[in-house]
Amino acid sequence: MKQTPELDRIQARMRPGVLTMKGFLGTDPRPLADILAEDDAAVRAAGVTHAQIADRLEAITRAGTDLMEAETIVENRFRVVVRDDRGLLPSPFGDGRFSKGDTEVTDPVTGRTFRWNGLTLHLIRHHGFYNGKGSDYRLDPAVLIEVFGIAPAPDQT
Amino acid sequence: MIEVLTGIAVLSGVSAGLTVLLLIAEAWFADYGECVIDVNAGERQYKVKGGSSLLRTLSEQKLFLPSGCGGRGSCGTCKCRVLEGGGPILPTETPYLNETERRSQVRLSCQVKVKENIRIEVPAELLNVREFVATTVRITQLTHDIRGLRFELPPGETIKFKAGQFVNLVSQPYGDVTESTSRAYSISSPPSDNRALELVIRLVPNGMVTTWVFQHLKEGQPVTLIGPYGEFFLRESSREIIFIAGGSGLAPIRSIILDMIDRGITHRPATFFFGAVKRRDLYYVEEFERIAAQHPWFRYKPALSGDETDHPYERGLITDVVARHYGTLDHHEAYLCGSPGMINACVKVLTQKGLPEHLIFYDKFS
Amino acid sequence: MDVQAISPLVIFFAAITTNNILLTNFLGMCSFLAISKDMKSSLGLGAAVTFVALCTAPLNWMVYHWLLVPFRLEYLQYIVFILVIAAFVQIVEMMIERLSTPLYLTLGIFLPLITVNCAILGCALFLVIRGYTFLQSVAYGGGCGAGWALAIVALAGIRERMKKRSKVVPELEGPGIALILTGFMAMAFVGFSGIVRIN
Repeated sequence: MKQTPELDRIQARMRPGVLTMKGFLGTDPRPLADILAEDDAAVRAAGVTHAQIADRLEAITRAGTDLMEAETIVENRFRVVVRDDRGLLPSPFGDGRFSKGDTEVTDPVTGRTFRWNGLTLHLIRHHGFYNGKGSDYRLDPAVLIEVFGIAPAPDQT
Repeated sequence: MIEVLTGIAVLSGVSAGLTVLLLIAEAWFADYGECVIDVNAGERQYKVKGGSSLLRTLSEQKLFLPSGCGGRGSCGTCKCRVLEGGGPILPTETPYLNETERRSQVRLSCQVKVKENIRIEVPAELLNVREFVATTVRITQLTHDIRGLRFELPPGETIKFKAGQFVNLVSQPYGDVTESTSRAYSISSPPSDNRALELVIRLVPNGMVTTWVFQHLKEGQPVTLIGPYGEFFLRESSREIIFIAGGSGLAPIRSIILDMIDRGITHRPATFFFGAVKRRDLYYVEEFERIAAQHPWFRYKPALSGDETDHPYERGLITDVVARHYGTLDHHEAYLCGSPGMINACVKVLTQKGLPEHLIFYDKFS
Repeated sequence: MDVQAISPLVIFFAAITTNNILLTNFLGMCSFLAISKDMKSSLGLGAAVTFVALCTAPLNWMVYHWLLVPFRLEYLQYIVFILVIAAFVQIVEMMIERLSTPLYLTLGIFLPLITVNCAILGCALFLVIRGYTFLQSVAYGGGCGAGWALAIVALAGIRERMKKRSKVVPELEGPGIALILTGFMAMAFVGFSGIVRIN
């Protein structure tokens, strides 16, 4: 994929301090087009879709919602806290504003931790963007697929 | 040698001449002269210098339309009706306007350029909105991640607002954040305290404005506040009141309760449920307990959902506590403030108990 | 034959037909191929090119004869012409935005494209090479622009029709078939050649 001027503008909005304090790219120096292409390839290789991944994570958030930020165990495995921060964050792609309360997940089996919010899920679902490497919100699609057991939908060929 | 010099001289001369020409043209053509902006059919009239965006021009006149992205055309919140003089809808606006909005001449004010006299329509309460440069006089650590802030307005200035409304707090650039940003916070002080404003702010991890408030804002420092905004305030009726809040959602409820005391509203029983996880998340407890002791119409019910047991408060999730507390809700009215998740869960419980949705009021900050 | 004796009117029509800048000199091809997909944009861009060529031709004539020739700086003509064209386009864009928003939305977006349109620069260079008088330059500029507009509108018409009725091999879709069509049109315009000579 080629880095278009449109992607340049989006990438500029992803820098620290523009829309969010730490931005969306972490320490990833690559052009946005390359970041998107690499994650997209990983998701395709596993035979799943961005929407499936976003749905899976959203289900975990839903299981931890409305508990006044109390920690809960989801699926007998994941320790989940859903923060109740009010307010919305604008999408760097310029297509709306999404909730900012973080879902913090710890997986005792692998020792990994994950963090996402409504905006993160929107970016995965509609743009296949998993944040740049080194970002607090970076979610490596290959790791997500493995840890959360995301399998190809049966009707897919 | 001479030839090279004349070449350079002529080329520089031509460039300079063209630049001057361009500057003259810009001063001439980009000068749209004085334009009149008519707001709400003559309610306000501003004589302004044309040439910049409607949003900016209006904010220079101290009329503040809500704006989430600061005029970058990426949030779609600065909408207003432009009845005359806005020109055709631009391609940059179309993604944010639906069919009904287009038909009723709604535009994105950050994209409309003021080039001639314009007639616009904005919600009436926006005309009360003003910008204040206030002084931070007190910062109180209320819990481990919540702070109370008190700002005093400049001498001689007062603010008029309805208890329950919110203001936008403008942060200054710091660290990587190169531009000032604003976020909305509910006012926690009562309207009678009209020479100052109090806010309750909870630290959001990596939040652009809350990080500034927690790490950079010091007592004595001036801050910019814009407001008041919002449709969350006490409705006139004789119904019994249920207040439910969590986290920093306590702020507007506190303002409303203090306002009820000021205005002598004693005929409406009111119960305030405040949900938290642990004891350390409770704040303003003494104040509400004192109010409950002094005013028989008010009851205060903090509830803790964590596993601590050595406390005198209600136990369990706020939704369960509210459900336990009431039978059928047939002469009640509810005011909620908190996270979207808490609000959704509470609305579900309240409607199950027979409270119609139009009697449940909340500000989702969306 | 003395070029300066040719009537400006003849030069105007010759610049549209026998010496069409696009179809005989193949100048201004990039926007020609990119924009000729639909008729409406082609008309807009054609009008913009005509206007800019008509105005910059005499401007560049004046700059050349009154500034560059006296100082013997003819070798600077390329850079100076480009500067004049760029500045002129900027001013026109501001003017149009000020005066008419509908015109700005149809025409204004094409103006920045014209700054780098080689047909405009080619026009300025030809009128210098051929030694036109001031009036001849005005006619030549207008003719160049009108000829370019005629060519792009004709190609847009053909392409729009072909989209509805003809099947093009996928490998040739887009610029490929547009270049072939341009070749045919150029051959058709060869039919005009020899009627008049303006250089």
